[in-house]
Amino acid sequence: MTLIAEQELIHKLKSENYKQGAFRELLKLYQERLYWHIRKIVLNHDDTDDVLQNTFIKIYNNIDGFKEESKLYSWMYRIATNEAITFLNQKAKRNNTTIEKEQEMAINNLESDVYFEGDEIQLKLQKAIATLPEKQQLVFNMKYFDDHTYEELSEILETSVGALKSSYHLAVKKITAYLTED
Amino acid sequence: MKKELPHIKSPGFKVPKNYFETLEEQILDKIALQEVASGENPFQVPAGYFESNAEKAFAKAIQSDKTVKVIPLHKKKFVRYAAAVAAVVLIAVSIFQFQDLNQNSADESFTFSTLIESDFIDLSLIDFEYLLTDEMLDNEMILSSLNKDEIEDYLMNELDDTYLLYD
Repeated sequence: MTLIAEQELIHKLKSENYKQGAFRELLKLYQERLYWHIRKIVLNHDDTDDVLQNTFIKIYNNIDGFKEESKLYSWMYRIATNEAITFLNQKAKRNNTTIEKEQEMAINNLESDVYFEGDEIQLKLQKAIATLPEKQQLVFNMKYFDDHTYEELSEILETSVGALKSSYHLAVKKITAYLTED
Repeated sequence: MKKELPHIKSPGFKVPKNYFETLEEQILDKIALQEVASGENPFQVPAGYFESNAEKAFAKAIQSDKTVKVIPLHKKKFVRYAAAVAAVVLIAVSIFQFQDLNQNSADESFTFSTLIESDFIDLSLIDFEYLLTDEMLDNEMILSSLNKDEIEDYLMNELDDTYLLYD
């Protein structure tokens, strides 16, 4: 999406008369991208569906407060990331466990999940990602699978490019070790 | 040899069939519902209801404050103990009297009539009427042994109320 097209869309989203139509357009443009971003964090389809719907409702409700200091999609990715992490924390709290234990359980459930069609190496990769700290998981998923640039990641995660590069290289090192160990 | 990360470009997840086709409408429906729900409250209350209700509740609270009697728990406990002691004493006395009565009944001379004679049982005329059955009254043995004048004299002397004589 060009900068002009994005500005026009934001303008419509903030206008009472065009908000509905513009929001429909926004959904068409970003629903799949945001779905896969959230799915890689929460792993399970039903949970992803809940988080994605909440994300879009938040976008709709808060669009007037969007200051346009970053790109629209960066702002939406930030909302989606926060929603997914909040969801995982709340789920862990509800089940009286830690976020790490909750993630371990989600990984174990993948083998019997009808919406997971990964082979042995894909499953092992998910297990390897789950061993990383939260921030490294985010950086690895967004860089390795979605090919985001460091600049985009910097805007979304509000972290410096240098710190992101370091996080990613550390994550790759750990995952490679996990995947290649006997 | 330096180990390298294998090239795995998909995490292996999939979505239910037609999921993205219906997602847009689901989200729009949720937003529409949210907007309806966040609108004005359709229910109304009479004018000044909350003001008068608060006063009523306050008045009730004051009233209930006056009438409520606070019973200390320790006193209640004391009453329970006292009741328990009284019950034990009552049972002990009853057992004693019952044993005494059994001793008396063992005595051959002790009969129902002696109880009446010694005023342990106070029977009224009405009680006697109930005790006398038709069979007893028809008993020829009793009637034949008594003289009519004797009966009349007895009744005239013994009865407080002589209405039975006129029946």
